[in-house]
Formats: sequence, structure tokens, C-alpha cells
Amino acid sequence: MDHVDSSSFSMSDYERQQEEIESETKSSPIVGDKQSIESLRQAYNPDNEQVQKKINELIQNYSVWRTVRGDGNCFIRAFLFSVCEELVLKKDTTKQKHFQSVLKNSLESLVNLGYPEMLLDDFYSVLDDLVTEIGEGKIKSVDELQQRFVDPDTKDAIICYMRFLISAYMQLNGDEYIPYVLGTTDHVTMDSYCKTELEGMYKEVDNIIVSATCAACGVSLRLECVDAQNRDSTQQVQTITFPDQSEPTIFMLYRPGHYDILYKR
Amino acid sequence: MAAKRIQKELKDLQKDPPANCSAGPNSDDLFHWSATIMGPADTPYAGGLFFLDIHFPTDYPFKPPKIQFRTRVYHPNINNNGGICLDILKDQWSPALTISKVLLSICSLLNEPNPDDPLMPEIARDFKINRAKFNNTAKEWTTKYASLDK
Repeated sequence: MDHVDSSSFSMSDYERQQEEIESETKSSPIVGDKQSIESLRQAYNPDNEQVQKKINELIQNYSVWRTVRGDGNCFIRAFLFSVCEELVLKKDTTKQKHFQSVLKNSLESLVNLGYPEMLLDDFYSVLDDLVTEIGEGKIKSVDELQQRFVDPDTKDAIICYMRFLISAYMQLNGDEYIPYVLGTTDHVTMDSYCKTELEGMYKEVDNIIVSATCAACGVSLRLECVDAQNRDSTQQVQTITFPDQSEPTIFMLYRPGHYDILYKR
Repeated sequence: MAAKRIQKELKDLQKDPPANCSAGPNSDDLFHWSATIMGPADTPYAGGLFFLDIHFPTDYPFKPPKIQFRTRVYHPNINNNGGICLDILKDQWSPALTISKVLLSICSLLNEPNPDDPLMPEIARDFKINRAKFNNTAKEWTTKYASLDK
């Protein structure tokens, strides 16, 4: 039988591109250490007055920031880390139990939506175990949490499960999200939108997914948007809170296409 | 995570094999499989048995498996190296998909080529404007390269 030459696996353009992105992003930590907010100045062009003005504003409200790797998972990873970090620091068992019930209910929803439980359980159990260990005091410090977030057995599975959790929430609350999907994307169903734009790893999320993530987990988030745009306002940094008008417990810096974690003064 | 998941899929494939496909590890290497697909009836691939190579990346299932035909196929979405142009093997991959689902999608691709997103533009052109010529060549290749009698 004649065979094609498969002595070495030929790499498609897609794979080559993926590897390039990977080697670029792998130089930055998955979840970085806390850094003084002053160091944010170096993360932007120091000559850009507009941006430096915005950073001045941020410095008044935030003391510390933490980078998250820009591999397309940054929002979800920053979100999950902030939620877990709060559980580690405040030892609030009510919140811990609530988050765990959100996880459990989402698995049931996914199975009802026809997702294969046998496969999703692998991801679910890793995240559920992590939250259990926080509740039981086995993960005592934020440093230990950070270790778990970069651990090869944990790092992808927990992000992967969050993607399915958000997907289930968006599909079950389709009435709320479908107008946006129809208006801004080529998708005509929630199912197709979620499968294409959300469930695959390394997919950057848009604003509606950010909003759905907060709603799905019952968490309030404030985004501080720092870009080079001049705003016609005394306050230069644009602030968005999810859900609107709520009192945020976690904070993020948003630069076009990327999210990092912020800590209040 | 990867090894555990691959084991799970292997067990499931043995318990509930998909129609017209088979797949399993080559030797002791769990991350390197071979698969076969029987050419679907009522297509120019009917009667052929097509071999494929499967490589699982170390971060499977977060990244898609790499799959290519080892048997030559005359098809708008399959190139001379056996590379397959299929969205779920690229940016539409989901960790909730399995090798079994992927093989079924490849069967569907044999049933219904997608000439609007071709890897082989000339074959796609034949498929679109000279179907008889396309069918003849695809049948010839099936007999020449994928025949069970050989």
C-alpha cells in the first residue's frame, strides 16, 4: 500500500502560529507576584503623557498589581485567582460553600444541556478539589494558591472548567445575551456562540462574557481601563463595574486585549 | 491529565466503537495512535480503507490532537502530506470533543467535501465545476492507494 510521507508530522500554518504565540507568552509567569503599582509605569510607554496621567489616577486608589499571562485565558485566570484569593484570605465559609454550589450546579446544568459528564468531570473535580482544600485550610496562603495555579495538573483544568461553567450560564440565560450575540457577531444561537467563542482554551473573551462570568458566580468586579485614549472627563480612567451599580470585591486593570489584577489601597 | 484522559477515551472506544472507524495506540506509546476509516458508501472513497496517524500533545485535551492521513486521498480538504483542513482540529477544538467525534467528523468530510475552504484549490475546482472528473480521479486513487485487496 502506498503511503504519504509522514516521517515527520507536517506543521500547518495554524500550528506554527500557535507555537509562536506560545513561545512569546511563555516568558511571562502564569500568575505573577504582587508588584508595587508604581512599576505599572514601566509596563506602558513612559513618554505617553495620556497614559501616565491615567496611571497617576490609579495610584491614588490601588497600591499593588499582579500580572497574569496574556495567553487568551487572562481574564478567566485573573477572575478565578481573585475569587480564590479572597476565599483564602477571608476564610469566609459561606462564600466558599456558595462558590462550590455554583460549581456543582453548573455541572448539572452542563449534563442537562447534553455535555459529556464523563469528560467534564475531569475538569470539574480539579477545581472543586481546589476550593475544598481552601475551605479545609489545606491551602493556607496566597503563595500556596499561586503555586496551585501554575501547577501542571491544575493550571489548565480549572480554566477549562470555568469556560464551561460560563457557557452553561449563558446558554441557560440566553434571552439576556442573545440580542448582543445577534447584534455583534455572526452567530445566530447561544449554543454556537459559546462553543465557538468561549469553550475552547486560549480564546480571548469579550465584554459580554466578562459580564456573564460575574453573574454566573455572583461576584462583583470593577475594571479600570487604561489606554491611550483621551477622555473628555475630569476622571481619565474609564471604570466599568459588573454588575452595574454593585459594590465590587475584585478589581482588574484592563488594557485593550489584556487583564491584570489590581489591589485596593 | 492527558494520559488519564487518553486512557478514558481508549476504554470508551473499545466499549462503544464508532461506525466505520477504529483507533488505538500503536505500541506502548499512549500518545501515538493509528486509526482507520472505511470510505463511506456512495462516495468515490467507498471500498477503501484509509489509515491515519494520531499524535496527542502533552497538554491534551486542552490542545487538539494532531491527525493526518497516511493513505493518499484525493479530496479538496486533504493535502499531499495527508494534512486535514478541519475546523475542530484547529481553532474550533473543544476539550469536550473526543477522538471518536473527530473521526466521525473526518468521515463526514469524506462524505461532504468543503470546496469553499480548500487545502487543494485545484481539486476543489474540479469538485465544483467538473464533478465527473473529480469522482473518477478520487475513485482511481481509492483503488490505487486504499484498496483492501492490496
